[in-house]
Amino acid sequence: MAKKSTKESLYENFSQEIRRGVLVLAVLSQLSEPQYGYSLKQRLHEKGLEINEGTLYPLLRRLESQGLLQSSWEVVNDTRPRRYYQISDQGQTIHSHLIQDWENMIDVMSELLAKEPHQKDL
Amino acid sequence: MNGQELIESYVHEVGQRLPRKIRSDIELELRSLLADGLEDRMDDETAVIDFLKELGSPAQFAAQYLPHQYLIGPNLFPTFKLVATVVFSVITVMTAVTLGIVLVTTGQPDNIFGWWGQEMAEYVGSLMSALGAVTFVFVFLERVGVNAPNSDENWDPNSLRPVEDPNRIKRGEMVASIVGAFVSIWFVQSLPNWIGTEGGGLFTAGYLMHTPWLIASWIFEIGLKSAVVGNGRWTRTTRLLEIARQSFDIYVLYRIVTGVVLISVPFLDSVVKGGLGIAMIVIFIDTLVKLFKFFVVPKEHPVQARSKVA
Repeated sequence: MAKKSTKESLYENFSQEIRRGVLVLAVLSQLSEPQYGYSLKQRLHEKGLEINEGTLYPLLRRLESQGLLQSSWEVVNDTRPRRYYQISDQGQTIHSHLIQDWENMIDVMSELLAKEPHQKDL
Repeated sequence: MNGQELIESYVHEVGQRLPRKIRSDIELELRSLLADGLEDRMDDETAVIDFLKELGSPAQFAAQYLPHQYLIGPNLFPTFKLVATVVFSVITVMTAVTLGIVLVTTGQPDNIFGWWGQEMAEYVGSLMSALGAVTFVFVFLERVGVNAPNSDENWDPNSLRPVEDPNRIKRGEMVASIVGAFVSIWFVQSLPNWIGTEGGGLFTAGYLMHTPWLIASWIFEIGLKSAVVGNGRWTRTTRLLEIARQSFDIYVLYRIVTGVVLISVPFLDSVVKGGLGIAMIVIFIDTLVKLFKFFVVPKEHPVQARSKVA
C-alpha cells in the first residue's frame, strides 16, 4: 500500500476532527427509538454518515455511562443477546441544546466561509 | 483458526485490556456486534479477518472504551512537579555539602575519577529512589481520587500569576554583584599588604599564586555584567559566558580547597578553606541551576524577539 503523504494525513486528521465533533449529535439524533449497535451503524450509513465500529460502540457505552442513553438487553431468536440503546430524558435535553448550538454554528460557519469576491476557488 | 475462533480470540484479547468490572458486559456485547456485522458478509475466515482489521487491533479497540489513562493526572501534576523539584534540590544540596565537607577535611582523594564516579553513582541512586517514592505516593493519590486544591472545580482565574520573562534582569541585583566583584578584588589584593606574606606574615606563596585567577574571574564578571545591565536582559551568549566563568571559579576554588596551604597557621587555614568550600558549593549549585535553565528555557521565537525590539 502506498504511504500517505504528510499533506494527505494532515488533511485526514483535520477531517476526522470535524467528524468526531458531530458524532454525538448524529448518534443522539437517531436514538429516539431503540437501536442496537450494528443497526445504528447501518442507519447512519444509509443517511450518508460512515462511522467505524471501533468508534461507535465505545461511544454508545460512554454516552450511556454519562446518562445520555439508556440500554437494555434483549435476546433475539432465542440465541443472540443484543443491547438496545435509546436516548434518555437527560439525553433529550442535551440533544435539544446541541441542535441549537449546531444551527448557530452553521450560521456562523456559512458567514465565515462565504466567498469574498477576491477569493479564488480551491 | 476458523472464523468463530478468531472472533472469540479477538473478544478475549479486547476483554483482557479492560477493567474486570466492565469486561464481561463488553465481551458479551462485542460478540453480539461482531456476529451482527458478519451477518451481511460471507461467513468465512477471510471475511472475519477483513472485518477484524476494520475494527483495529484489540488494544486500539479496547482503548476506545477507556478514559485517557495516566499515572499522574493534570490536576495533581503541578503539585507533583513542585514536590519532585524540592526533593531534587534538597538531595543535590545535601550531596554537595557532604562532598564539600569531605574534600575540605580529607583533601583531594588519590583516585579522583574513581572517587567522583562512586559519589555520583550514590547521588543518582539516592535521587532515583527518592523521586521514585514521590512518584509512587502521587500515583496512589491519583488512584484514590485526591484532587489538588486548585482543581478545575474550584479554580479561580484570580489565582493566575503573571508570566515572568526569564531573561529580564533585576538591575539592583546586577549592580550589587558588580560592586561585590570590585570589593572582592580590592580586599584580596589588599589583605597581604595589611597582614604580610610568607616570611613576615600569615599568607603563603599558595595564596599569592591562586588569587590572580580569582581576580581575573571577577574582572571578567564586572565586564560581562556591565554589558548585561547595558542590554537590559540576558542573552544565550551572556548566559553561557557566565556559566563558563562560574565553572572556572569552581575549578580554582577546588584547587585551593583541596591542595593549597593559604595561611601559615593551620587552624586559620582550615577555617578560611571551609568558607571557600562553602562558597564553592554555592557556586556549584548556582551553576547547575543556570545550566538547567540554559537548556530547559526555550529559545525565544525570532518573531517575539523582533516585536520586543520594535
